Amino acid sequence: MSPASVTITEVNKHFGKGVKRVDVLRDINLNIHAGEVLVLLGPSGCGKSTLLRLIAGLDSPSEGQVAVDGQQVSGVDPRCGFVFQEPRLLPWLSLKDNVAIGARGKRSEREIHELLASVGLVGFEKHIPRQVSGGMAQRTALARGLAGHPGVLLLDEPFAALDALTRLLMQDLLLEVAGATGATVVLVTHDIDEALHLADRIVVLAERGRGIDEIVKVNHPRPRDRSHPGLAPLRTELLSKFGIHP
Amino acid sequence: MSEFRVEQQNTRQQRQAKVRKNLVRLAIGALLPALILVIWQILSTNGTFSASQLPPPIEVLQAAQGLVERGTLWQHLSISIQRVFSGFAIGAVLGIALGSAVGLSKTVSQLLLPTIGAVRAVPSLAWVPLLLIWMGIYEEPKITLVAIGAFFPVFTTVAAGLAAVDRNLIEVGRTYGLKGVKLITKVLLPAASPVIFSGLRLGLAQAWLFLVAAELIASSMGLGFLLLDSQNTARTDILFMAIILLALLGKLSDVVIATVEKRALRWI
Ligand SMILES: Nc1ncnc2c1ncn2[C@@H]1O[C@H](COP(=O)(O)OP(=O)(O)O)[C@@H](O)[C@H]1O
Ligand SMILES: [Mg+2]
Repeated sequence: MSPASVTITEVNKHFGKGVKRVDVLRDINLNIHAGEVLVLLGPSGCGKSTLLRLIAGLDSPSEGQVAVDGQQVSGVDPRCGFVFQEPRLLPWLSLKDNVAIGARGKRSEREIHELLASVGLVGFEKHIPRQVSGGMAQRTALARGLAGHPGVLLLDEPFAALDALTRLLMQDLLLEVAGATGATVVLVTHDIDEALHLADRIVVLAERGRGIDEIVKVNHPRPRDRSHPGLAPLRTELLSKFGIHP
Repeated sequence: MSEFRVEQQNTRQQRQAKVRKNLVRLAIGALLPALILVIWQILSTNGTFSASQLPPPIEVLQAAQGLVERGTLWQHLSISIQRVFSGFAIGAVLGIALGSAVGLSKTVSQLLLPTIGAVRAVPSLAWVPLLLIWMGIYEEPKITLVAIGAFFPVFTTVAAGLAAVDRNLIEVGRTYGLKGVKLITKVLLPAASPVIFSGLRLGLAQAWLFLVAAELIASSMGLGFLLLDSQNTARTDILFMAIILLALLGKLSDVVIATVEKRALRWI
């Protein structure tokens, strides 16, 4: 499917009842444009994962609405692909069969092969997860996330557990394959440089239950030079938001 | 790429090393039985025990040969194997079905667990008189008792195994549209399969245990009957033979499941 927009309207989300009630998301309004790369940045525990799960339909908002392409999300949404922080591959299935799960039975062998090839895993189709490295497993998870040709690809700190070099390679790979399949990308990270490298817009969430702090537009064409001096002021601004003053 | 190639180069050497390792393991495993056989031979011939207490190994073999010639050994063996097989199959299928229901649904679990727990608390042999009254003296009560024996270990492990499946993997399944039966067969059962296999093996061991109990109590054939009959006729040689056959069959059937298990769980 072609890139889908996401509209989040007046969303509140709390967990628990009575004295145990925790307000995680409050008054969230956000329009994610079709085809853009939106990065969610925010302190740990502020509700980034929760917001992604609401878009995917894995959980539902306490109040307000989430819509993909103008159509309300209710229940797990087939228009969304999801990449978790850990690869979460089914350990008894080959890489190929793991990707096929993401395709929901809609892709041919050949298409799945091509998808694995696009993330550099030719020759590993029949390997099982424990036989491959963490980076390869996460690339498989990325292929699985894209296998259903989602309108929106949701990624929850997908590269956080990888080593620094692999992380940089994966960032570029993400732009490449998501661009090729044409999906809107919503990515959660706590890595400011990652946000600056990938995002069209960066949404900075405030502390838990305080809503959106700021939305920062990154007006630089891609592919971006990681050391581009034009990004420096933005980096400084974002760092100071998190209390770091270089 | 390199990982893949290294793996292929190694296979032949690895296979040879594996064969050698297996032979060594077999030899080490056979050491103790051989020693026991030697000690048995000595004790049974040097006057420590009388022949009616401990017949020498060769007499046990001869007893087996005698039964083979009369054609009864195979009858005893096959009826026992049939009973274990049928009883285990019934118990295991019920154990997997009810264990799945309890492991997957809080409601079913709350509904069934107290009752099943109470039934399990009954010492299993206490069922025998009731089974005899209800089912007569032929195959049904024996197979039922074996099924009861096999059921509980399978039921317990399947229920616990399914309830403990990694939430993250279930979420993956849900994310990609799996629910209901598909979620169970594609995610939950495979994820719980290591535990399920250990439950099946425990269940099988229990099945043999209950078989002997059933055949000791009410039977005119089978290895359990042979045990009792040889005691009554003071044929210690046949008694030993029956014990050894039970050990061999128990081990053999476990090896069969273990082999299936090893193939099914290669991903671990
Ligand atoms: N299912 C849940 N039940 C109760 N509390 C939850 C649940 N999911 C998340 N929370 C709470 O919501 C808050 C935000 O969680 P999360 O969205 O995972 O934060 P982030 O991803 O930004 O670190 C945390 O305080 C967490 O404990
Ligand atoms: Mg999180």
